Order: sequence, then structure tokens, then C-alpha cells
Amino acid sequence: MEIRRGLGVSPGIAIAKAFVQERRRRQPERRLIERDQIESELKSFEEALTAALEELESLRRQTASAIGDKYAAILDFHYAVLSDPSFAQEVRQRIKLNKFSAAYAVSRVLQRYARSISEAADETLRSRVSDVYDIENRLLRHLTSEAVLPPQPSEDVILVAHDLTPSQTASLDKRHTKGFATDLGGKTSHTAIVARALGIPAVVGLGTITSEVSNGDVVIIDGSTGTVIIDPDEKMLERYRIMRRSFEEFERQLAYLARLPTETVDGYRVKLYANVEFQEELRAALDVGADGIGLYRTEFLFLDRDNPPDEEEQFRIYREAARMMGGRPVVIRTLDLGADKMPSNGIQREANPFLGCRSIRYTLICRPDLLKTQLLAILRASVYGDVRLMLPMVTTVDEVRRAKALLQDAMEQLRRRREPFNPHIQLGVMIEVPSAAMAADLLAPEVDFFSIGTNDLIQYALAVDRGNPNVAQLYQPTHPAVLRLIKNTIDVGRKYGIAVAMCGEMSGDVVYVPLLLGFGLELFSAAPPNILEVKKVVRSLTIRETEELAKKVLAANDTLAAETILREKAHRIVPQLV
Amino acid sequence: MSRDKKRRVVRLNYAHGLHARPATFIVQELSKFDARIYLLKDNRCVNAKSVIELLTLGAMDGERLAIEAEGADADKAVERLAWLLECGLREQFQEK
Repeated sequence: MEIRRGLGVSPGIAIAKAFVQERRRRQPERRLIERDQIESELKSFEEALTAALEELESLRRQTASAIGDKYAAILDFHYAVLSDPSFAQEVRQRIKLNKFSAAYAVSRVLQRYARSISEAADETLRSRVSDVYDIENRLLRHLTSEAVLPPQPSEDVILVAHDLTPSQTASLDKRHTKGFATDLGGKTSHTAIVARALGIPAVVGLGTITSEVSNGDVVIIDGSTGTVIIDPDEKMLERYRIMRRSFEEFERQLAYLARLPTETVDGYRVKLYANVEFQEELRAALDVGADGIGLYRTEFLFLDRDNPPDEEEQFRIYREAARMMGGRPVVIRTLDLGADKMPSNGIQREANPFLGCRSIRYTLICRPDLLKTQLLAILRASVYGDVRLMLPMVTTVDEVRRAKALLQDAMEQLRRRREPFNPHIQLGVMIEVPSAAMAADLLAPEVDFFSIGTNDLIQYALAVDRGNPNVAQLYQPTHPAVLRLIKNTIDVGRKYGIAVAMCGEMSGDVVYVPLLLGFGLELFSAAPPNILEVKKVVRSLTIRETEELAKKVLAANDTLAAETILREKAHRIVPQLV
Repeated sequence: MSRDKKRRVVRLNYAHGLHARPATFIVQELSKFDARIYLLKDNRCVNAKSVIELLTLGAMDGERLAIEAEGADADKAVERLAWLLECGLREQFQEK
């Protein structure tokens, strides 16, 4: 029995046999063939090639509808390489002239390509190496019987991989995959997002898990604590079976909540929205009974591609979101990226990107054309549901006015084109910079709503990067300064009669929900897996007690004291989580 | 062999360099020609009709590349590839 610790990115417990998908599978042995075997090796290569191409075509069809065009583009590249005549020619030559076995020839040829790509000066190009390995795996799977096989459909597995690749995700057997454990990855990695979307536990950042686990080993994954236990003994198994049962019981209780209103014991109602990052998470949001989408991120549309999506492509995606949510609000946030993430932005490397040209600054200053295109697409989608617009990282009133001018332009353009849109589309701003929170009263008259983004707000207010382990402990959601900023924003919203939402991690954390309720927050937006937890907490409290709690926390004026008070409270309501 | 050999030097005009998508596009475009077409950078020479070989070149924006082609329609092939590298890719994939 061995215990490994990583980062739990999707909660829950899974116990199953490991299915190890190595990024680079064991290199096929250098095997030489006899002269009279050349024909048959050539033939098996051609067959594997045809099979791989057919597989790609069918994956391509499934993928475009299920996961999105981004992965489809990756599969296109795989297809282009496999149908590349000079690749096939080279493999054939190795078989004929060097008398390599087909598997060994494929591996040698692709490795040579991988090597020269990995020497490229450009990082984006270098990252293509993993695609080449992916292609190698795909071909080898068809060539050798001992190579990676997809999980047996009759058995549950925990997928152990170096890092989940998009094509692995696309071909994932969703019914039988019970959990993920990966060498690489963080909270926002591809693996984490897929796991949360599927609602299965995942532990990432384990370092070398792929080499420590063998196919068929029994593995326990605890996605809440980030623990992975390899080959557990009977005692440990029993312990986790009990934990799994109680977690599942808890989940069942929560699932029951999906249909119930989000209201306190004394009948005070709040709205509970979902934060989504990918189109596939909309389904998850509906499943947990979200009242709407409080944060629809649009960055995924712009990343990993050479040129930004045009108006039509964006319009279709936004329209789909609006339709899926069927009249529930969908708050679309305009592009929130740093200049470093955008190709060909014409900006020099910034010494301090978090204080630089990012988010609304980037789109207003450098690329108003991008913002305009996005506004056009959002406006056109606005007639298909309750679509709202949100600007990220606003620091001054002037930015709001400039964005509104662009919005007017976009509306004018649509009128000329005779395209329908909602002229009264609600416009809000994210409050995630301390200046915006302190001067919220100046922003309020300009907008229809605020949405507090706690991750950036805390980072900027306390001048701390929580990704930096040396200072991470200074990242304190209950620092008195942070609490004052949040409270001020909520108070200003009330005074000016505009809605105040929160869409940061804090509003999805059961520890802080009672305090936020006590502050008077009426709109919580959380990642889909946290929604029912938040609802459970809200439904266990009276407004009176949350107000008293808020008073107590504010009076304490101390981070540690506040954390202790809040944790105790949350523990009494959801001991499974705190 | 040198009978029909054509050569031309161009500068890649494509902000993201020769990545998967532009390379795939070039190969599609060049498949219409019978000529053997090569792309050279520094001392390396690759088959311009191969996606994977084009990628291994790692050509970046602004870099000098030589095109060579031999065969009946070598002239037209060189012209086409030169156009692609100098403006066609940009036209196809960047802002309209």
C-alpha cells in the first residue's frame, strides 16, 4: 500500500482498478524482420493507417457536437499527419530497407519528427510534440495487440495519465471512468475541468503517478483531499468504502435539493447562478437547478487558435447558451485575457502583466475591434433568451462609458443591418479591483448590476499572488480589508437599487456563504459542483442568525478569528465538507 | 534534373509562424501541382507537400525561406507557394 498526495480538483471518492494511459507508451521493441515478412508488415501498416484514419473521422464527427470545435481542430491535425504521403512513404521505406517491424518503424519515424519539433524556438510549436506522441499511440494501438486498449466497457476504471490530452477526453468511455489521477495539472487544467463537468473525482499534480501505478492495480482516489492510495489494504479499503457511502448519501441528499428553492429557513430567497467556462458545463448547471448563468466566460473561444472567432461563430455559441438556459439569465462576460495570451497583439512583453494591459483594458485600448465583434454577437444572441453583458476588471467610470459607446455603435450597426437584438440588454461590471469596490457609488449610476469577483479582488487588495507558495498564506478572504470592500459594494448596490452578485470562488465556498448572506448578498454564482452545497447551507440558516454572524465577524476585525467562527458554523451545517 | 528547377527566396509573412493549421492549408494547396516542391530554411530542406515536415522547419514570422521546385509545373508551384507564404496565409487565417 502506498499513499500519494496531489491536488484534489474535483470532489468525491472513487475505488476502482487503474487504467494507465502513458503519455509515451513503452517504446516498441527494436524488432527486425525477415525478408519474407516485409509484405505482411507493409500490409499491417496500411491496415493500421486506414483504421486510424477511420477512427479519426468518426471521432471528429462525435467531437464536434459533444466537446467543441477546438478539439475537432486538433483531430484535423492528426488526420493531416496520418494522411501525409511523406510520412507513410518513410515508414514503408524503413520496413523495406531497414527491415524494421511496422510498429518500430512508425515509432522511429514519429520520434524523429517529435525531436525536431521539440527543438523549435517557438513554444506553441513545441507543444505540438504531445500531439505527435498522441498520433504515435493511435497508430500503435492499431498495430500491436499489447498496446493501449480503450477501457473494457464492462469494467469501471480510474484513468491514470500523465495529463489528459484532448483526444483522450474525446474518446473517453464516460460510463466506466470513475476518476482521474494525473502527473501534471492544476485547478484550471483540462483534466480538472473535464472531471468537474462529468462530476467524477480527480487528483492532479501527482508528479509520477503514471510510473508508480500499473494497469489493474486497485486505486482509491479522494478528490476532496487530493489523496491517492495505491494497492490499499483491506482496512483502508473498508474505511474508504464507508466514506464513499456517506459521500454518496450526502450527494443524494443534495441532488434532492436541485428542485427546491434557494431560501433560508425563515423564507428569505436568494438567487443561485452557475459559473461556466465551457459549453458542456451548461448541462451540469441545469442538472443542479441553477437559476441562471452568473458568469459565462468567453476566453475558451479565443485560446489555442491562430485567429479570433468571427461574429457568426460567437453568435452561434452564445445563442446556444441562451437557448439551453431557456429564459434564465445568462451573464456573458466580455473577453478577460491578458495581452500575453493573445496572439499577435502588438504589445511588448510586460514586466508586470497583472497590472498591465489585460481584460477590459486590453480590449478597449488595443483591440476595440475584438470587443465590438463580441458585442455584436452577444447583442444578436440577446433575442434568444435573457442575455446580459458584463465587463471585467473595470477600474474607472470612463471605461464603462467607452464600452457603452461601443455598445451603442454595435446596436446602430445591427439596426442598419436590420438584425433583431434587445436594446435594453442589461449591462453590469465586475467589481474585482479595490478601487472599483471603494468607489462603487460612482459606477452604480452607470450600470444595471455589480458582480464581485473575489479571486482578483483579494489578490489586488492584499497584493498577494496565491500561486506563490511563499506568500500564499497571505491570501485571506476574511482579511478585514477584503470584507469591508465586499460589504461596501453590497451596501452601495442596495442604496442605488441595483443587483449585486458574487461570482468568485468565495460565493461557492460553504464556509463563506453564511457571512455573505449576513452582508445582504442576494445573488450567488458558483461552479456547478458547488451549487447544491451552497443551497444546502442557505436552506439551513435563518437570515437573523447570518446577520448576527456578520456582526460578530466584522467586530472581530481579525482574519484568524473570523475563519474560526465561520468554519465552526459551516461544520455544524455540512460536516462532510468542512 | 536541374532542367526545370526553379528557385525563389521569400520572407514568411504570418504572425504565428508555420504552425499546424497553416501547414495543413499549404499542403492542401500544393497537392494540385505535380512538381516536387521543397522549402528551405538555413541548411534544412523539407518536402513542402508534407505537413509534418513543414512543422519540423519551425519557420517563424519574418524569416527568410527558399522555395525550390522541379517538374513540369514548377514555375506555377513556386509562384503559388511564394504567394501563400507572403500573403495567402494571412488572408486565409488572419483578420479579413
